[in-house]
Amino acid sequence: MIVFNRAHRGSLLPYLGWLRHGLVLLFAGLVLAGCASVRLVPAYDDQIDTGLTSLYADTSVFVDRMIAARGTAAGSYDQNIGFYDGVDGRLEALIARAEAHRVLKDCPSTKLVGRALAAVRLPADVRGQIGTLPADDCQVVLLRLTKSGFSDMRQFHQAQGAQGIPPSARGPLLDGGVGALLRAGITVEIAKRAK
Amino acid sequence: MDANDLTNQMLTAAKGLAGTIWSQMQSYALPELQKIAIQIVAIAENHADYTPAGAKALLDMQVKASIGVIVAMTTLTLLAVQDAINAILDAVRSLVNGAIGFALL
Repeated sequence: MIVFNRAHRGSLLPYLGWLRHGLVLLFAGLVLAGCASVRLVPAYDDQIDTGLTSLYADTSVFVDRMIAARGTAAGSYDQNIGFYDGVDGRLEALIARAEAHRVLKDCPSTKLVGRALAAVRLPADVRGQIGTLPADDCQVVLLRLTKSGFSDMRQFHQAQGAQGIPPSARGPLLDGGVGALLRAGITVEIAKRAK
Repeated sequence: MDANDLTNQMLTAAKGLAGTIWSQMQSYALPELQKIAIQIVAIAENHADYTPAGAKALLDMQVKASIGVIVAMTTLTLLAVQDAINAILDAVRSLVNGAIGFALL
């Protein structure tokens, strides 16, 4: 251990300022070396942006068309399987792009939501679907949630049978539901584009 | 080198971060969660329009939509944190490089 008495301190005082600056530079260099800028979110991808926006428009048109055709063969699930298959393919392509751009291995909110859901009583299948979301970049998680939302929409349409999609389902499908999921992805892309 | 100047720039970046996150909560996350809550009530009120399995699928969708809003808000928060960290790095880089006369950082 080195102990300086008062005399030593006086003689060393002019050097302490330099030492402090040197340490600051050394610290900054160590912390920032090779770290010109930090990236926590993938860069803007115009294909994800336009892909989600066009899917939003197509879904709105589809829901309105199904409501108008409710109770007829044209509004049945069987006659419209192609829409759902097409959506699955489009979302898989966007997920592939998001996976190629991923920055983080884990989205912070996924674990948080998992813990929160573990603390409340939810049907096992609902909790299971959410809990099995893979640890991945937030953008990938969001797109997988969107795909899962469309899977619910497919099940809804199928379960409605001959009734088809009633007008009262427009809000749950487009204001909430898949509409909210698509807007979430679009909002993120717009925020990234603004940077 | 002026530590006060650097401190002020760092604090400005941190204050901007808090403001940006709150603004996004108000303009995006809260209205979206409100819309979803309204839809959950509407599903219950219009249950006669749906088969039991149909109503369940619609409700599952609302739960996923709520989580989607939280994940999107997390991404917007990460984006704001990224901007704040880079603003601080820029301030440190500018100060250090200016003080020593060549590009160390």
